[in-house]
Amino acid sequence: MIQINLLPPEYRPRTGTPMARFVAIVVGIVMVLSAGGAYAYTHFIELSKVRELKRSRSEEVTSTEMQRDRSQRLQQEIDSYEQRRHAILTINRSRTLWSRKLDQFFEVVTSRDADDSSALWLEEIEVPVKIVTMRRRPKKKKRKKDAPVEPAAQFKFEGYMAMANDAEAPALLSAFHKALTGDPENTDSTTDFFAEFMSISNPNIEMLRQRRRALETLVPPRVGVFTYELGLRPPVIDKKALARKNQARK
Amino acid sequence: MSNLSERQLLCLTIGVAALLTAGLLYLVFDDRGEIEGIEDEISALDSRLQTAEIERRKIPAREDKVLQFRAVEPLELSVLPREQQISDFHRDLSSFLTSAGIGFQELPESSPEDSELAKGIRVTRNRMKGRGVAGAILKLINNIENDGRLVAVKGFKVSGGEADRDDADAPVLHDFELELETYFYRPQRGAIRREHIPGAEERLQDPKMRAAIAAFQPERPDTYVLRPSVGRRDPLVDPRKEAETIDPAVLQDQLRKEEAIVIEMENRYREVAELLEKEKALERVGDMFRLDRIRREIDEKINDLRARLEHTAATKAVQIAELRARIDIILESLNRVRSTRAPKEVVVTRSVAEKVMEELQKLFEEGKYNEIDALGQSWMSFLRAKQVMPEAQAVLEQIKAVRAKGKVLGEFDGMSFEISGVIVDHENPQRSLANVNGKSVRAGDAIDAKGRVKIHRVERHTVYFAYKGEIIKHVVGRKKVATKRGKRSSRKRR
Repeated sequence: MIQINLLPPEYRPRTGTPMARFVAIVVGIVMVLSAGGAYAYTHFIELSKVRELKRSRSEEVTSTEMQRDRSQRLQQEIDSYEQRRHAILTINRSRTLWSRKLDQFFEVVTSRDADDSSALWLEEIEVPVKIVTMRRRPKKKKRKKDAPVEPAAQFKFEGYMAMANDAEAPALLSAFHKALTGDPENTDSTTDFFAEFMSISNPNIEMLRQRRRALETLVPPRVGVFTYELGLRPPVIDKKALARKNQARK
Repeated sequence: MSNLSERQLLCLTIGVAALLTAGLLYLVFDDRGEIEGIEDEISALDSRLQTAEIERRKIPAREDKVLQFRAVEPLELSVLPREQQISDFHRDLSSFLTSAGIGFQELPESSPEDSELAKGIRVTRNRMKGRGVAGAILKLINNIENDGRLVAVKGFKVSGGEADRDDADAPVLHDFELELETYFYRPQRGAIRREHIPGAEERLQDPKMRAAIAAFQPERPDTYVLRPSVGRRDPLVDPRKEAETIDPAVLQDQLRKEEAIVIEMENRYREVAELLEKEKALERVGDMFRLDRIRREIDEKINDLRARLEHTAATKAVQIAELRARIDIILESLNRVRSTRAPKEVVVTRSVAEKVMEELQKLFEEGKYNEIDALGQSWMSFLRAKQVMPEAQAVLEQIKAVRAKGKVLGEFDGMSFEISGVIVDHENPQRSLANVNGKSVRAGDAIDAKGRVKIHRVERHTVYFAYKGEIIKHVVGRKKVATKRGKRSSRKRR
């Protein structure tokens, strides 16, 4: 059926956008605008802010890492100096001042000249070469209990002792042994000479039977030959004691 | 669009809106993902920054440390150099040998190698041979060990030499070998680049930095100063002397003289013992006045006896063993007595000084000027650090005068000359002549080139000489020869 509206237009009822479409359009516009706004904020504000932050941080890290490298190079230089200093300390600690030992030893030998009843002189003195390696203070769990410590060096000498008669030999040798060591077994103290040694061989002497007749005119006439072997205590680096000693020296 | 129904338009509208919204939301989530990724990167950068910052903060302290090390580096290099510097070491060895008076023999070849002591240390081992007396060898080792550069004596061997039979006074030379090690420091890795430190000069002037550098000195090598050993004999030389057979009469005379000394000491000790008995008796009865006098007398006698015993020991006036044993007994007894009394130092009294003066006078009269000198030196050692009583001072002055005179006469005794004749003018003694060493001289003329000895007076049988203020008489006709200083020799008792 064909419907014809005969009313003039001004009398016709008004016709607007249908409500459903209108709501859909409005909602659609709101959603699009919101999404657009969110996108604009995220992209143009937040993302650029973060990018800027990253750029500045990268620059800062580059600069600081250059400083770090410099600091490490300084430390390498310090390490090299400290190694040389440690080397000096190691060599110095491993040295034995043999002139001091010999001076003290000669003093002991020649101090026996108090009277003419006996005489003592040396034939040979020897310190065989031994390569010394530094030992740290041993940790208790690594070192076996009562394990013998090897001496750093051997001090050997052979000499002669003259006396009026043979029976005096053991007593004279005993007196010399005590003068050499300070008799630590009885006195709890040692001589300066013996302080750095850790062992000494037992006294021994052999009277010389076949002497040239000419020598028997020397006074005292009877001569025995003796030998000794002493073991030098190995040096130990004690850094704390060394620091205290250096502080006292300064 | 006009052909679309309302429903279709509605769907279209909703569809378009949804598509646009979805597209925009997709973009938003994509950006969000990117933001999160960048934030993760920023976190990583932060941790790197933190790590680098920790190291960066250490720079000032490390720069200070490096400045301190660089300031002391020359000193360390002088102790442990970077190079072997073997020629410098050999040059120094020469000066050590010369200073010690050693005869050099051999220095074999050597080369550096790695040391077992620590990484980076290189060692050159040298062996040296030579000859010298014990004191010189000791001095050589001491010179080497005291050198500023680290040198170690790792071993040595000294063998006693033989005395020269043709020349007993020649020093005995001993053969020796020394094993030496010199060190230098050369780490394996390449050279460390020295960082530039801004403002280093100014920072070095800072008082705190200077104090830190002064306290940061490297460990100096240990050194040792040898003891004075002028009178010390060579310990590798037989010190014994030939036994001398002496005349029994001389030995008897010595025995008599020494026994007289011992008997005198024993008598003096007996007097002390008697006084001690008296002291005990007076203590029992309570006579304090006499007790005080006795005690003072005992102290004086003990002091006197002590002084005499010390003087006897210093001058070795008693050498016979049996008599020395008796002296030891007296000394032991005296020490026992002294231990019960208040301790007092030895005081030099007039009697002690007079005893020495008597001995000097006797030697003077016998013309033993050398022995006067020896006794005088022993006396001076004895006097050291002892109190001298005022009344003894005058005697001390006399002793001094006798010593001085003895010294002058001893020097005159050492000169030799011959007086072959005199011509005496009694009316004018100044014109008298004497022929000395083939030259005619008068009073006032000098007979030696330096003009020290002059003629004082010429008489018929005597010529008087003037020397260093002393007038010395010489009988004409006797040839004056220089006297040698006698040596004391060991004696064998029979």
